[in-house]
Amino acid sequence: MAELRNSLKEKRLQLGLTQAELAERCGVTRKTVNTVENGVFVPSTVLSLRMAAALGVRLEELFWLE
Amino acid sequence: MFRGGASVETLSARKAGMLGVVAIIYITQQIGNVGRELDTPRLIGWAVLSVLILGVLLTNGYWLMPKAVRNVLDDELTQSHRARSIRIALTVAMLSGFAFYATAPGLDWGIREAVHALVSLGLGAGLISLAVQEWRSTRNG
Repeated sequence: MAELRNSLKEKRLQLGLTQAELAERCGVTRKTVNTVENGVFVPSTVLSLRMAAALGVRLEELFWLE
Repeated sequence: MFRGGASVETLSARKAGMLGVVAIIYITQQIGNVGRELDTPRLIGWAVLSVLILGVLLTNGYWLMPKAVRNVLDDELTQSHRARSIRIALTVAMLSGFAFYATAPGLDWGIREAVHALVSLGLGAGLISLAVQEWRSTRNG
Protein backbone atom coordinates (compact mmCIF):
# COMPACT_ATOMS: atom_id res chain seq x y z
CA MET A 1 0.00 0.00 0.00
CA ALA A 2 1.30 3.45 -0.96
CA GLU A 3 2.57 5.65 1.85
CA LEU A 4 2.51 9.40 2.12
CA ARG A 5 5.96 10.98 1.79
CA ASN A 6 6.86 14.64 2.14
CA SER A 7 9.64 17.12 1.57
CA LEU A 8 8.52 19.42 4.35
CA LYS A 9 11.84 19.52 6.18
CA GLU A 10 13.82 20.09 2.99
CA LYS A 11 11.57 22.95 1.80
CA ARG A 12 11.46 24.48 5.28
CA LEU A 13 15.23 24.45 5.62
CA GLN A 14 15.60 25.98 2.14
CA LEU A 15 13.67 28.99 3.43
CA GLY A 16 15.68 29.03 6.66
CA LEU A 17 12.60 28.48 8.81
CA THR A 18 12.47 26.67 12.12
CA GLN A 19 9.67 24.23 12.92
CA ALA A 20 8.23 26.79 15.33
CA GLU A 21 8.22 29.52 12.67
CA LEU A 22 6.49 27.28 10.14
CA ALA A 23 4.03 26.20 12.82
CA GLU A 24 3.16 29.81 13.57
CA ARG A 25 2.63 30.53 9.86
CA CYS A 26 0.29 27.53 9.62
CA GLY A 27 -1.57 28.18 12.90
CA VAL A 28 -0.53 24.90 14.54
CA THR A 29 1.92 23.85 17.26
CA ARG A 30 5.52 22.84 16.59
CA LYS A 31 4.85 19.23 17.55
CA THR A 32 2.34 18.99 14.68
CA VAL A 33 4.93 20.21 12.17
CA ASN A 34 7.45 17.76 13.60
CA THR A 35 5.12 14.76 13.48
CA VAL A 36 4.15 15.60 9.88
CA GLU A 37 7.84 15.91 8.90
CA ASN A 38 8.57 12.53 10.48
CA GLY A 39 5.58 10.88 8.81
CA VAL A 40 4.00 10.07 12.17
CA PHE A 41 0.93 12.23 11.52
CA VAL A 42 -0.93 12.54 8.21
CA PRO A 43 -2.30 16.10 7.93
CA SER A 44 -5.70 16.99 6.51
CA THR A 45 -6.04 18.50 3.03
CA VAL A 46 -6.62 21.92 4.61
CA LEU A 47 -3.44 21.80 6.70
CA SER A 48 -1.45 20.38 3.77
CA LEU A 49 -2.57 23.32 1.61
CA ARG A 50 -1.73 25.78 4.41
CA MET A 51 1.75 24.26 4.71
CA ALA A 52 2.30 24.43 0.95
CA ALA A 53 1.16 28.06 0.90
CA ALA A 54 3.39 28.93 3.87
CA LEU A 55 6.40 27.44 2.06
CA GLY A 56 5.42 28.90 -1.33
CA VAL A 57 5.37 25.53 -3.12
CA ARG A 58 2.77 23.43 -4.91
CA LEU A 59 1.08 20.72 -2.88
CA GLU A 60 2.47 17.96 -5.12
CA GLU A 61 6.01 19.16 -4.41
CA LEU A 62 5.40 18.84 -0.69
CA PHE A 63 3.43 15.58 -0.48
CA TRP A 64 3.32 12.49 -2.68
CA LEU A 65 2.49 8.79 -2.50
CA GLU A 66 5.25 6.21 -2.77
CA MET B 1 0.08 37.94 26.49
CA PHE B 2 -0.10 34.70 24.54
CA ARG B 3 0.17 36.11 21.04
CA GLY B 4 3.67 34.83 20.38
CA GLY B 5 4.31 31.31 19.14
CA ALA B 6 6.74 30.65 21.98
CA SER B 7 4.04 31.17 24.63
CA VAL B 8 1.64 28.81 22.88
CA GLU B 9 4.47 26.27 22.64
CA THR B 10 5.14 26.62 26.36
CA LEU B 11 1.47 25.98 27.15
CA SER B 12 1.41 23.02 24.79
CA ALA B 13 4.53 21.49 26.34
CA ARG B 14 3.19 21.98 29.89
CA LYS B 15 -0.07 20.29 29.00
CA ALA B 16 1.40 16.79 28.74
CA GLY B 17 2.84 17.08 32.26
CA MET B 18 -0.34 18.57 33.69
CA LEU B 19 -2.48 15.79 32.21
CA GLY B 20 -0.15 13.22 33.74
CA VAL B 21 -0.43 14.84 37.18
CA VAL B 22 -4.25 15.03 36.95
CA ALA B 23 -4.36 11.37 35.86
CA ILE B 24 -2.28 10.33 38.89
CA ILE B 25 -4.48 12.40 41.25
CA TYR B 26 -7.67 10.95 39.75
CA ILE B 27 -6.49 7.34 39.86
CA THR B 28 -5.03 7.70 43.39
CA GLN B 29 -8.33 9.23 44.52
CA GLN B 30 -10.27 6.28 43.10
CA ILE B 31 -7.93 3.64 44.52
CA GLY B 32 -8.26 5.33 47.91
CA ASN B 33 -12.05 5.14 47.64
CA VAL B 34 -12.24 1.38 46.99
CA GLY B 35 -14.36 -0.34 49.63
CA ARG B 36 -15.06 2.91 51.45
CA GLU B 37 -18.39 4.64 52.06
CA LEU B 38 -18.07 7.97 50.27
CA ASP B 39 -19.07 11.13 52.11
CA THR B 40 -20.52 14.14 50.33
CA PRO B 41 -17.29 16.20 50.04
CA ARG B 42 -15.48 13.23 48.43
CA LEU B 43 -18.36 12.66 46.03
CA ILE B 44 -18.41 16.34 45.07
CA GLY B 45 -14.64 16.29 44.57
CA TRP B 46 -14.91 13.22 42.34
CA ALA B 47 -17.82 14.69 40.37
CA VAL B 48 -16.07 18.04 39.80
CA LEU B 49 -12.83 16.37 38.68
CA SER B 50 -14.76 13.95 36.44
CA VAL B 51 -16.63 16.80 34.74
CA LEU B 52 -13.36 18.70 34.22
CA ILE B 53 -11.69 15.62 32.69
CA LEU B 54 -14.69 15.07 30.41
CA GLY B 55 -14.48 18.73 29.38
CA VAL B 56 -10.78 18.39 28.55
CA LEU B 57 -11.41 15.25 26.48
CA LEU B 58 -14.24 16.92 24.57
CA THR B 59 -12.86 20.46 24.14
CA ASN B 60 -9.12 20.37 25.07
CA GLY B 61 -9.65 22.79 27.96
CA TYR B 62 -7.90 26.20 28.22
CA TRP B 63 -11.35 27.76 28.62
CA LEU B 64 -9.98 31.01 30.03
CA MET B 65 -7.61 31.56 27.10
CA PRO B 66 -8.53 33.67 24.05
CA LYS B 67 -10.19 31.67 21.26
CA ALA B 68 -7.26 32.21 18.88
CA VAL B 69 -4.87 30.62 21.37
CA ARG B 70 -7.28 27.75 22.05
CA ASN B 71 -7.53 27.07 18.31
CA VAL B 72 -3.74 26.75 17.97
CA LEU B 73 -3.47 24.54 21.06
CA ASP B 74 -6.28 22.34 19.75
CA ASP B 75 -4.69 21.83 16.34
CA GLU B 76 -5.16 18.76 14.14
CA LEU B 77 -2.67 16.60 16.01
CA THR B 78 -4.28 17.32 19.39
CA GLN B 79 -7.75 16.76 17.92
CA SER B 80 -6.64 13.33 16.68
CA HIS B 81 -5.24 12.57 20.16
CA ARG B 82 -8.53 13.59 21.77
CA ALA B 83 -10.57 11.55 19.30
CA ARG B 84 -8.50 8.45 20.06
CA SER B 85 -8.76 9.05 23.81
CA ILE B 86 -12.55 9.44 23.60
CA ARG B 87 -12.76 6.14 21.67
CA ILE B 88 -10.67 4.44 24.37
CA ALA B 89 -12.76 5.99 27.17
CA LEU B 90 -15.98 4.82 25.53
CA THR B 91 -14.63 1.32 24.92
CA VAL B 92 -13.38 0.92 28.50
CA ALA B 93 -16.68 2.25 29.91
CA MET B 94 -18.70 -0.14 27.73
CA LEU B 95 -16.53 -3.15 28.58
CA SER B 96 -16.72 -2.22 32.28
CA GLY B 97 -20.51 -2.03 31.96
CA PHE B 98 -20.62 -5.50 30.42
CA ALA B 99 -18.29 -6.86 33.11
CA PHE B 100 -20.36 -5.33 35.93
CA TYR B 101 -23.54 -6.69 34.42
CA ALA B 102 -22.08 -10.18 34.10
CA THR B 103 -20.67 -10.19 37.63
CA ALA B 104 -23.51 -8.27 39.27
CA PRO B 105 -24.84 -11.24 41.28
CA GLY B 106 -21.44 -11.66 42.94
CA LEU B 107 -20.83 -7.96 43.64
CA ASP B 108 -21.98 -6.25 46.79
CA TRP B 109 -22.51 -2.96 44.92
CA GLY B 110 -25.46 -0.65 44.54
CA ILE B 111 -26.24 1.28 41.37
CA ARG B 112 -24.31 4.36 42.58
CA GLU B 113 -21.12 2.41 43.20
CA ALA B 114 -21.39 0.72 39.80
CA VAL B 115 -21.92 4.02 37.97
CA HIS B 116 -19.09 5.61 39.95
CA ALA B 117 -16.71 2.80 38.96
CA LEU B 118 -17.86 2.81 35.33
CA VAL B 119 -17.43 6.59 34.93
CA SER B 120 -14.07 6.54 36.72
CA LEU B 121 -12.68 3.68 34.62
CA GLY B 122 -13.82 5.27 31.34
CA LEU B 123 -12.57 8.77 32.13
CA GLY B 124 -9.37 7.46 33.72
CA ALA B 125 -8.53 5.41 30.64
CA GLY B 126 -9.27 8.35 28.33
CA LEU B 127 -7.18 10.73 30.42
CA ILE B 128 -4.20 8.36 30.59
CA SER B 129 -4.41 7.82 26.83
CA LEU B 130 -4.46 11.58 26.16
CA ALA B 131 -1.58 12.22 28.57
CA VAL B 132 0.57 9.51 26.96
CA GLN B 133 -0.13 10.68 23.39
CA GLU B 134 0.57 14.33 24.24
CA TRP B 135 3.73 13.38 26.13
CA ARG B 136 4.99 11.26 23.23
CA SER B 137 4.38 13.95 20.63
CA THR B 138 5.94 16.61 22.86
CA ARG B 139 8.99 14.45 23.51
CA ASN B 140 9.42 13.58 19.83
CA GLY B 141 8.35 17.00 18.66
